[in-house]
Amino acid sequence: MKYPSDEFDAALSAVCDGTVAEAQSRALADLLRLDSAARDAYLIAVELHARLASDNALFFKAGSEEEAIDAIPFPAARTAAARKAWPILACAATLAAAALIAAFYIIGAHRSGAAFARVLRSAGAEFSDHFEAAEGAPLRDQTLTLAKGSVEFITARGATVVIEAPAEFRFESAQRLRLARGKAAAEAPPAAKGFTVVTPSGEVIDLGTKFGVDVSASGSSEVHVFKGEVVASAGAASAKQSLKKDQALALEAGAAAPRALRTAAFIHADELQQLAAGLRGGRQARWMESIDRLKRDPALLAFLDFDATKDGEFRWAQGRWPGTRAAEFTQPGDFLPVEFSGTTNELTLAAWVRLDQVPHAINSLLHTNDWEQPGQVHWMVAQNQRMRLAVFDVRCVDQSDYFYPQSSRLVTAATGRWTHLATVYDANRRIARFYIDGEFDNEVALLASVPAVLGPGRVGNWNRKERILSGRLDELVMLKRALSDSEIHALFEAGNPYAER
Amino acid sequence: MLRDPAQTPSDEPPDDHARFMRLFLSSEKEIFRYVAALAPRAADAQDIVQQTAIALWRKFDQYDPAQPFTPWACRFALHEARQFLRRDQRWGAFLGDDLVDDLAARRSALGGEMDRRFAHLNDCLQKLPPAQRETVESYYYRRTPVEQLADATGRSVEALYKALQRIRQALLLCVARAMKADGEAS
Repeated sequence: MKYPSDEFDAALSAVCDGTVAEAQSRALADLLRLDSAARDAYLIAVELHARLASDNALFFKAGSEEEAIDAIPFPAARTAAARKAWPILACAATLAAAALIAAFYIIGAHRSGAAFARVLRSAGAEFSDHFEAAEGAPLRDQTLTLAKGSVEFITARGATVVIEAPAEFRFESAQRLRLARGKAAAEAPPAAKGFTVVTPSGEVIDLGTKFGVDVSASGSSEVHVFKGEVVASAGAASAKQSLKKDQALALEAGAAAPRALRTAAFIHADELQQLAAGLRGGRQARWMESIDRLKRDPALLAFLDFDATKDGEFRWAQGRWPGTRAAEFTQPGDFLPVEFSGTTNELTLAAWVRLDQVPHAINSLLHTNDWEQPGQVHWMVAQNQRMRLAVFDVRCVDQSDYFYPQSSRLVTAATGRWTHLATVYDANRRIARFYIDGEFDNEVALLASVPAVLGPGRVGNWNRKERILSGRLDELVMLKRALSDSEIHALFEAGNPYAER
Repeated sequence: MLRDPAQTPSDEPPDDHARFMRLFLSSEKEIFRYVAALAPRAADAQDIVQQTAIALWRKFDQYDPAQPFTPWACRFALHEARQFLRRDQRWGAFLGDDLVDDLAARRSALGGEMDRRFAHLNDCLQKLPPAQRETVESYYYRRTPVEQLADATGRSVEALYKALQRIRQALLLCVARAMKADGEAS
């Protein structure tokens, strides 16, 4: 055999296709040993073949959005490669982790060239369409309905996407996610630049970044940029807009309008990991037990878990646990009416919240309606991002610079997570105490004391004054006694969805 | 802060596993191409990559995050490829360890030049006549077996293999021309 020659080309091709004959193999190998030019030609030709066999993206027009709408079903039967793996698996039976890897491979390998994305991690994810969120499970062009939990995918180009229930979506290619409903947070490395999320009301093209897309049940959508830059448009007729870090846009009915960034709206990869580990550690079961105990506490005034339907202007989102509900407030006028009653000298308020960092606005956790009546209770996160408790009192105090008590630490962080907020009001001892994530934060002495009076009120927008709420409220607990530090800590521990904090 | 140790799950390794997955998935294509230089048949290369994944995971506790993952992984892949080729009678038997080492070393030396050469592969695929494009897409992207493809198109298996050979040669020519044009342009 010589190089170059038809014989050489034919042998090379036969090696790639697996049809090579013994004599051909021998001649080719001998030639490669002797001739460095033939060796290079072999390596280049084989590289072409290997790229074609492994790089899905090659088959789509660069930058085109019309990727792979073909729906050729893949054979369900295992390939020879996968069958051959079983004996090796058996040898490795003691190594559970090796089996895990092999299982990943058996699920994914025979079509790794064709999977648009794979499951990287699941936190209680359940689908309504027989899709199992097993690690490594491949996704092609299929519509999925995520009923519970959250799941992280990695696309063939390395973009990671965390989708939170309730959601309906479809990877139309490795570079294109169609999100019909739900929340998706994407992080795209340079190789995945151009990763696009299409919603019923627009599309978002990544330019190397970290961003989130939230599609409401009505089909309106929002895009929030946390890092880098994206280009967004509210449909084909609408102009493309560039969005940078900390900017957000609402897309609805062919129009795009700027909106405030919702810093805590999305679950990102690091949080998902903590949620997944928390679930594995049995946190949800422990929480349910503790809720049963809490509900038997004779001092309990109210326990709102938002799993029951309520009036008001807000929407439902997932709570801390897969399949549970939280009230989500996204617009300035959103609110939830509440109805409490009673007068008490001791009051504990506690809630699991996921708050956006909203500068220049007061996030209202609870506002009773009859402010200017003694004892009315207002609990909020103030403009300075500190938790504040105001109990209305008409009596004169001899200090003109008196302010309502507040926490010393900031309540909201740049990237929102589930946070436990609690405050204890004690009129007898004339103190207000604040707790963040179960930890005692601050105690403030009250100049005067008046029993707290509970009546009808609102979470969120309180129309008597400019009050908003931006974020989610999962659980609101109200007791007519002052819980101790350890009781508050236990309340936090029992409800903490994360493995660690 | 006090923490109940029983509440911190430590009996499972999934976070390590996810870390491994990320690293492995980011290197997977390169490992496949590296292995394919030695065992070009796609199914063989895929088998070797699979064995490599298992071996890598077993030794993942020895991986030092201070070193790049891909070269570390490729060492394992080379070992797995050798094991495979020693058992393979059709091709591996004629390669021998000497040629395996030569090919692996030469491919590494060609690293950057390979990327430059194939920078225009996507464009070249787009330029193929529709029938050829369809063939290459069925074979590589959809993984349709050649026998099935022959049935579907009314051609013989031999004719299809010949067609694939011609398509690959056309693509090699196309990328070589594009690379040359790049060189002249810059």
